[in-house]
Amino acid sequence: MSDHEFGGNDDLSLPKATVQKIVSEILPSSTGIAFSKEARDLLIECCVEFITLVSSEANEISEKEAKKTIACDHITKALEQLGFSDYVPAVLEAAAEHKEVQKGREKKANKFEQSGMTLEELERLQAEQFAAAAARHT
Amino acid sequence: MSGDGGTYAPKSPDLSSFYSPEGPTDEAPSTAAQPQAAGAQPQQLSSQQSQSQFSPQQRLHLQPPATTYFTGAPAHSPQRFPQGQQQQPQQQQQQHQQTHQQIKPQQSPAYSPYLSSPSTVSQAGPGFTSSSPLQSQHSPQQQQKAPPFYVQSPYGTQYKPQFPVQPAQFYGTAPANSAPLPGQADGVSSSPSSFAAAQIAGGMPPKRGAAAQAAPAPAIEPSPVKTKFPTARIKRIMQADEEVGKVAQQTPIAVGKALEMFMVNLVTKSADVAREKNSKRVSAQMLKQVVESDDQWDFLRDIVSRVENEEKASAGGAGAAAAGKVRG
Repeated sequence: MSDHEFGGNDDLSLPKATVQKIVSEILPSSTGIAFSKEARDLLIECCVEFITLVSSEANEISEKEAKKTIACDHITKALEQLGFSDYVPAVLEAAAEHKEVQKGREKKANKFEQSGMTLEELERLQAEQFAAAAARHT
Repeated sequence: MSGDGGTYAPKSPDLSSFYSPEGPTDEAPSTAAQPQAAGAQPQQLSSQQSQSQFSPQQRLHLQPPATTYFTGAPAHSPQRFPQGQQQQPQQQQQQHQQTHQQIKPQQSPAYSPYLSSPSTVSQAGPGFTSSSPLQSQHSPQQQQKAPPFYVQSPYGTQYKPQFPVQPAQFYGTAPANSAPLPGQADGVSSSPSSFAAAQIAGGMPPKRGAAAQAAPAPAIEPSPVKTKFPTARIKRIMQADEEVGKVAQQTPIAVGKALEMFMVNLVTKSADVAREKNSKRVSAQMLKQVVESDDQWDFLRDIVSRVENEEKASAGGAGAAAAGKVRG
């Protein structure tokens, strides 16, 4: 939303508030150290550069494999090639976690369909509700 | 097809031994169209088939009909090549899987080795292959046909406790006992999530991912960061590069995680610098110092130098002032 309001430039940066929040999560107030505004802005630029770097490296890898879509796999390979191989296990874990969550969602959707009633019952219910709605409008 | 093999071979060397026997298997039907194979030695062709293609086909009869397309497709499909390309990665994945399973009996006491598995696989893989090239060549096909647990469960059952038998033999005898035993299926599928993740990353359909939750956590220290970056934003930044085309759904999440670790790295290091200098605020200059301290951050040098110059020019901001004090 706010992205659309500011448009353009802000689009390709990271939200300052989020970055600030993450920074203070990394450096809790107990450490007594805070990030200056300039440092934070610089950090954001670095982050954007990091994303760009990783994605262009991953893009190259995916092109070499004749893939049109950049997959997780390409990201991890890119990280390895760029000297960030220590990030890979955590990245894989996060991706797997996300997959799991996604699966849970799908299951929920299915359950929502199944758990209710049989198809006939559902149809009957639907007909009743249609009738009720029609009655309300007349 | 050989081109594909070339593409994949360097990345996972152990598969090269799978491929060379695999090639003829797959192509046997198509070479029938070529005069040399069909005219001169039909006998040989059929014997080749009886060796390498029969057992999957036999099994095919036992399987639900839905699987038929697989054997049909490679032979008749007009666009064989692109199809082959798509199948290859899948097979590759499955061969990986399979290698995992094959190794399992040997290492069964502990699953933890699998966390660091890729190297283990490549070491153990060829050994198995050479001992049973024919069988291992079939098995990926079997796996594609069989419903997941069909193949898995017998592994769990027969293998771990009893025989120190070659997986190859097992394959020969396996088809009979298809009864899925819930407990054993569990045993097999408890391969840790990092492995499952590797599959996922490869675009594999999550065959057994469902059961792969109970993973002993790998040595990943929990991140202090709870806040996640907005994935949509990350994706947009990624795609700001015109070269970057489509991006898988999970990719921004992976990048977001990497970014998070990147930040933790950078922030803690610059906080260390601030501590050294008895400062309570991390200035842009400290961040710059961190960036310049390690070649890993090479790609940020342009950015940090630019920013410092800007700050010198404008000479504003408490951070710059503080940094100036420290430097002076």
